[in-house]
Amino acid sequence: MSKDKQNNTNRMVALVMGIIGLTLTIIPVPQALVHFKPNWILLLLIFLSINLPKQFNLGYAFVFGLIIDVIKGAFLGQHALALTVIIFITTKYHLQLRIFPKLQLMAIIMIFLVLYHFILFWINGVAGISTEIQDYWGPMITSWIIWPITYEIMSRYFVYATPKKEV
Amino acid sequence: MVAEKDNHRGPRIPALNTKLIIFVVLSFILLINDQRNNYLSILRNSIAIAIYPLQSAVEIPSRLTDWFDLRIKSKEILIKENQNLLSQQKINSSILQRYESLEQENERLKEILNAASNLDNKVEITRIISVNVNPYRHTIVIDKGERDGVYEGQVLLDADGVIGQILHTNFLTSEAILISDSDHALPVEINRNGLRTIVLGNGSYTKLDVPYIPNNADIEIGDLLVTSGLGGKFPSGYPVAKVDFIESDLSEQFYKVSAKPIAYLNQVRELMLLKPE
Repeated sequence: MSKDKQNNTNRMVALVMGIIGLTLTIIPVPQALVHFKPNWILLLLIFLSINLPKQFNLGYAFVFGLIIDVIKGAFLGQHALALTVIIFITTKYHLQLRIFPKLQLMAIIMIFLVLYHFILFWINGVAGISTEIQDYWGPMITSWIIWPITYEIMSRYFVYATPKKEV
Repeated sequence: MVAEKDNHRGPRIPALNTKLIIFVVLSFILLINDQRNNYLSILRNSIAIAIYPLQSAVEIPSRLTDWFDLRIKSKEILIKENQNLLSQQKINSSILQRYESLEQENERLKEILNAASNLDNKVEITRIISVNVNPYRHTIVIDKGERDGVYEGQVLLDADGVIGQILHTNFLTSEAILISDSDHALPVEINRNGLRTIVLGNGSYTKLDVPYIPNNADIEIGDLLVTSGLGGKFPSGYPVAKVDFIESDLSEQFYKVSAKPIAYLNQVRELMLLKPE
């Protein structure tokens, strides 16, 4: 498959996955599950920046962040900032992250989730919105649990040159 | 060599640090301006219009079930429901007759007192299109926007009482804050004796705080709190909550009072927007 064609395919897949992720973010859930909605877009962007970092990095993170800000009625720039910071780290260290064993990667993902929610919490705090710290654990834990599943699903649909094995 | 040839999995990402600085600075500029002034509403509006199709698509399943409900319900149930509604309607209109005479009496008395006020407010029905999008705040998105004449601060009611007020308006949708949001305060008075106070949300859908009731005030469990109209945003006389808990601690200056909202804040789908005259 040629490079351009591959890029186009990936762009289409990313668009479809982005729309699915945003839909899952908007979708109403029962009251009991409100505090357990995973951060779908964050997971998608982490995946993209690790595996296709040249094509999808900070620009996408910023734009998706702004869209999430509007969806959630947050301050413009809040999610954009948090996503930009996380995606910067994952893009910068994508080579290391790629060769991590699955369990180790999961541990790192937890750190990213904590950092992401800490940035959101911090901006809320600076703006004077009082929030309960325990509300932030729900999405962290559900996102962490579904990470391996979403990883498997996503890696099926994106096209990328697999690392050549030494013979 | 493989890594250098391969564009996608190569190690170098062009201008990554520069991009980080640009986007972080941009985020901070947005954050600061969004809180201080309002000229970012064009950006917010255009994003809101872009995601409107998604928001309505998410609504489709619940609209479909409503539609099927209406068509699949058996005739008997419909007849029964119709009868119930008719009898309810009769009861209501009998109450309304009294209300009309009371309203006239009220007008007359007000004329005597030289006070200008209007009980007869117009409302517009609206629908919630998304709830709970932000678990840390109690906000909802409704399907009426600037196009329909919605403005910031407009009051939202349901059939029973006050729900909240409009926070932001977009072109097609608007976002409302509920009275249970922990940043919301609402001036009220006790219907029985006119004692004025403030009701604060505390993040719970079934409990509101009433913090500033002095220890010697006349308040009882079951007292109805209605809007007092003093903040200038909510018109007076709409029911808000019923007092359901009072604890007195003589060492404190104020009673510990909480009240249960009359409107079902987390169950409604259809709301009413209060229209100005």
